[in-house]
Amino acid sequence: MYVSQFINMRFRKKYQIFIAVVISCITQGCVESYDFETEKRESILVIEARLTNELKKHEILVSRSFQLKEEVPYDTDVPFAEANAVVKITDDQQNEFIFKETSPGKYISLIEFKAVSNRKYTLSITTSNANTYLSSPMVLTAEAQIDKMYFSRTTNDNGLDGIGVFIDSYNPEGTSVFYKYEYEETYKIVAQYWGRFDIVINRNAQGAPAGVSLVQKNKEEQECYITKKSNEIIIGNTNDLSEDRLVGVPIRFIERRHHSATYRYSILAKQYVQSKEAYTFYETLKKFSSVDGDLFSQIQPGFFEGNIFSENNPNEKVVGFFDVAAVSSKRIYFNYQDIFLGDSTSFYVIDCVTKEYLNVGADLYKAIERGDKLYSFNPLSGSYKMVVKGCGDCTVFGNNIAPDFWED
Amino acid sequence: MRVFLVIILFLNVYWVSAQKDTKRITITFDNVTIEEALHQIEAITSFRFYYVRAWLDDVPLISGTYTDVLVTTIVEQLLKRSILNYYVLTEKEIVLTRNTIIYDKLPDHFFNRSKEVVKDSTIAINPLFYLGNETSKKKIIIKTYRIGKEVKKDRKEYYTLTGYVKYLRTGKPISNVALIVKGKNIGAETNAKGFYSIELPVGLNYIETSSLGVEDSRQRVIIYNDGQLDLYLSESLEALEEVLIKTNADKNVKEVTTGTEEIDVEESKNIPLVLGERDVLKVATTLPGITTSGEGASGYNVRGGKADQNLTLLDDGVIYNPQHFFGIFSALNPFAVGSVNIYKGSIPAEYGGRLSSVFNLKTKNGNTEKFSGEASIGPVTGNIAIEIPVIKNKSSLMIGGRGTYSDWILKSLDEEKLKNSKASFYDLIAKYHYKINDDNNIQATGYYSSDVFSVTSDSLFNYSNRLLSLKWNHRFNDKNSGSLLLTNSKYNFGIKYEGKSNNDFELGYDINETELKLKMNYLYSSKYKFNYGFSSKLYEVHPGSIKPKGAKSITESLAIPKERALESAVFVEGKFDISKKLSFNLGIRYSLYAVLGESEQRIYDNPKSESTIKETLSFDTNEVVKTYQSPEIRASGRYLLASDLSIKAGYNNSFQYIHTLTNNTTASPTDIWKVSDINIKPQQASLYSLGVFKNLKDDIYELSIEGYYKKIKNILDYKVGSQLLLNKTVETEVLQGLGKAYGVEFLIKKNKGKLNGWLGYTYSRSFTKLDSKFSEERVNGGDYFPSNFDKPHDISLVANYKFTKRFSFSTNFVYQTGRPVTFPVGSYILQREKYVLYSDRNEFRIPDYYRLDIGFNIEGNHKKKKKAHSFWSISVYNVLGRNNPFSVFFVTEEGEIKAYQSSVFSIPIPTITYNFKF
Repeated sequence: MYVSQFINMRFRKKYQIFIAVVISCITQGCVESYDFETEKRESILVIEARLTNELKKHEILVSRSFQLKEEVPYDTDVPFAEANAVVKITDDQQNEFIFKETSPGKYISLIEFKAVSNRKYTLSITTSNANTYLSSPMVLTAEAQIDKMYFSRTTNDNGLDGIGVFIDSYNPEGTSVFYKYEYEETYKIVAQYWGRFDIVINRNAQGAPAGVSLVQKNKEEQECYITKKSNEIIIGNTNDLSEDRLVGVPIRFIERRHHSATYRYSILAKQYVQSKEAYTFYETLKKFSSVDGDLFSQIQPGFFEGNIFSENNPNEKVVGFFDVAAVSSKRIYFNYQDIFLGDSTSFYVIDCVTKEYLNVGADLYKAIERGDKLYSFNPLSGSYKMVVKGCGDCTVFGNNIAPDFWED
Repeated sequence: MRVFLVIILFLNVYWVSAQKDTKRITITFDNVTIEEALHQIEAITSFRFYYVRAWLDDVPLISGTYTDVLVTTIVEQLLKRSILNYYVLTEKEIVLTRNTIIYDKLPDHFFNRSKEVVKDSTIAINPLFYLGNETSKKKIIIKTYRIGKEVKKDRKEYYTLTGYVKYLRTGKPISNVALIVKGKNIGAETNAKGFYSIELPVGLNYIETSSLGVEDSRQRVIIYNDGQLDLYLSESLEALEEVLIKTNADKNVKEVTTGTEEIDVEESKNIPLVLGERDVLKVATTLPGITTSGEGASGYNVRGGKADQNLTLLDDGVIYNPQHFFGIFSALNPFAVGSVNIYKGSIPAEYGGRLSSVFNLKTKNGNTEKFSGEASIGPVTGNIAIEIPVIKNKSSLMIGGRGTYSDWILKSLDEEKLKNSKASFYDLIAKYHYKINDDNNIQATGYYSSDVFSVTSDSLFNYSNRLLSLKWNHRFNDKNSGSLLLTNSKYNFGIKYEGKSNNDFELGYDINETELKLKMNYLYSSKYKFNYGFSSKLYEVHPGSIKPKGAKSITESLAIPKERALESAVFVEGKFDISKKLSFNLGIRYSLYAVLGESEQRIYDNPKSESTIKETLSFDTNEVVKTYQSPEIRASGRYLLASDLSIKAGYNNSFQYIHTLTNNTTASPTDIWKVSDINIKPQQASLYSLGVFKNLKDDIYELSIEGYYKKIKNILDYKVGSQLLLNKTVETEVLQGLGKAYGVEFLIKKNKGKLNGWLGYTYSRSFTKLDSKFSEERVNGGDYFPSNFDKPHDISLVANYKFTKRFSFSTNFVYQTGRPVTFPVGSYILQREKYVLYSDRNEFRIPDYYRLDIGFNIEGNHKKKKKAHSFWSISVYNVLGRNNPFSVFFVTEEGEIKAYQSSVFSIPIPTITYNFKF
């Protein structure tokens, strides 16, 4: 035992460091970025299609896969759209629902309709190069209602303080097992440095700046509403539970210091009851999106099929799942103050600072020309406090009209 | 100098009679010069050696382990290759002589006679200056016999010696005793009546006898004329070991089976280590045909086979997971392991149930004479093994233990992430052996290993192995012996999860097997040897259970029903030495596998999925659900082209009835073993192999080339994203397909000398084919694709260099082609999120793996009468700091696809370990 004591005393520090490295590598894996090159591939068809039991005009998105390093354009509804396709859904009673392309890659049904139980629906897409893709026939899943939707103060996995939104679901008939959740959140933002007046440059005959005027704002720029749809895959199942009940499914976590929680927040959650196949598809998809660096949760990656196949070439890969799902939805609201009592701090989309211009001059003109907003004018000193546009005008980030459903 | 010494000795000899050597010692020589070896003996005995240093120069280096052997026997072995002889002068003194033999007694009229002989030297003969005293009752190590009456006229060059070899105790004749005339390339063998006849050159001859189960003997025969000599030998178990040592040198060439590897446990201590752990299984991976998926990956891939296709036996009991700590340490106490044999080609017919290999590990027998032990202290683990004699020379108990102290290190760290993580393991082993009499001995082994670790703060993993083995060896007569074996093994793992939701749980899995085996050996003759027997193994698997943890949890208790199966086999195998050159090893094993109730089995339409269940069948307890049976052929042959060159061929086919189910590309402790049933068929493999073996320079160099081709049926694979644990219909996730593997293995070994080690190169491929009518059951269009462990090029170098008897340097270099992976080839957007589009399965490869380790070993000093012998080993793992990727994976983070590689040891890791023996 003398030896170990010797090691302890003599090498303790060094060993601790080295063992720390080793152990952390073992348990967390020494994970670091990796550069890779793969040759160019042809793109494959990607289909996003869901038919629900809601009476509405349904929407189907058709696009193509793209190169890994290609930038995704954000100014289109459907990036890498597959345009000019013929899209339709047929049922086993020879009903045909035609979809029309409203913008590239976005196909909307001509009429409002809804999925009815015990009918088999098939999606059919014929692309402009005359390839036809058909889905497996799908039936509407059993209905299940969202039992309860609620929020509470919680901490997330990283230990951050915030608000969690949860759903309890219960189907007394026990017929639904697989669930997918999607949400749409809407929240109010208030421009942090909103001023009552806009500042405009006066121009002389030659068009050169000649002083400034303050004019009454003609549009709402102080209070706006931002709406965002979920993009993460939230799924749950009651497969190994004794009853068809899910408790506390975490839908959304909002960090306390996030601007979305600062005033009033609303969330609409939709619960889709899924077929096992659809659930498996999304479950697999989810596995490929989550960060999992530890050695035990690697999954075998690979191409996985949905239920849409090429008619012309059975070996052609197609991504996507045509889902026919029963849906139930619920909306809740909360205010920041409901949760964090007496805390009046507020957060905005961006960090804002004011800049003071002591007199009207080239600097001020330049600021106005680039769109900066006036926060305040001090008539005594004649100075102007300016902010970048987004800090004085919330329409940079959101919509200044409250959505129809909004309740204050 | 020599003359002087000889004179001195003669003077001494005159009045000193030979001493009886009763001192038995256990000693290991590791490529030492003879002088070092003598020093080693001096260090642990009271013997002193006298010699002239210059005589020792030409003697080759010495390696070997002698357990409980007479000092004189050792000395005899040491001097075998030299022209030196020895003489035990007193209890403490041994004198070495060159050419000259020192005799115990001078004959009457010695001086007169010797004169005569020296004169009469018309032909080259050894000077005959001594006449032995045959009737002497005195027990001496080497008896001297004088045969025939010296005839002055008509002297022939050769005379015939005949006689019988008989047991000293019973007087019964001994057949198949080899008589070899030392240094003269003359030999004979006794027949069934124990009779022999041998032509001896006139004068002094040394006749050595050796045979299995009979003590080796050596006699000095001075032949003057034809005559008779009957030899009486004692039975011996020790002799068996000695014979093996002798034959080991050319085992590579002479052995009949192909693809057999033996790891020298003692030698393995020189190989550089990671975290200071000696690991015999790690050494195995430096041999051709055996690889791992990477650091931190448990399991071995042998000749393109999956990790579950290896049978790991410890004293004949199965160890399901022979590794600790993410595969970084082997779960076997290195001090307790006595021998490791790996069969990757011809698997003996007595073993079955796995396709690729058998790792046959045997523990040491404890020292029956004195309390002794070995221990080591490394930075992460401590090891100890002690040997306690129970009945002197009859029975002994060996107890080993090992544990890690990484837990306290983790706890004392500031890093928040690591504070919550936990990693600890230990293993215990005990072995008792008892030699009841010459015909009976029994041994019992118990083993337990346990690992606990957590990788996230809310979950705790654990797994453990348990093994019990009882063996009774019995010798019926000279020709028949047998052993009866009873083993039980259990492997289990568990996961405890405590999160924030209502789904906290405790999950458990275990597999238990009990085997009864009888193996009989029948020695028909020295040319035809047989073994036969039967085995029967009962499996009991609890494929998974989950229990809610805490009152809030609504996790439903679920237990997948118990699975039971009986795997039985009868086997017979024979070794046929057709001629000295041609030998065959032919074996057949007939295995019968039965799935037993109580069970529910689902019958599916194709493709198998929950929606295609046709019916569910119920079976009562012990009702046979389904049987599979098959003959397995194990055949190999060897033809000696020269005494040091052979060609071997083999055919091996085997069945595997139990499989691991794993989502991961590498084996992990949470892989579940599943027995075959109605829906999951047994895997089947056929292996063809051919090899050429050559030894050079007195067996100092061993060269071999072996090629193989392997076909596998019903290899298991899984659908993408399958859920295997706690799945009631797990068969719907399993795909069974074809596999094929082939390769060529080159190995050059240098066994002796200051520089020793080996260099291996393997070119091998391994493929899988998963085809089906249904697209969900098809991978890569139903074509063959590289398996996860297809690594075409594999180079391993292990080298040791001994500077002096105390300091040695060792190095280890590995290069392997990166293993196949599935890479992303594009992206797509689905539901506003960007995802990766993957290539075909295993279309790409991760970067090549290479690593250099170095080690420096310092033996403690060789002071006489030292109580304990110490050994320091300093090693640096991954000296080049190569960041070998263990895996490459891709994640979508904030809308961007990022590639990551994970590696286990990306920096050089220095280690110092202290070992001591007492």
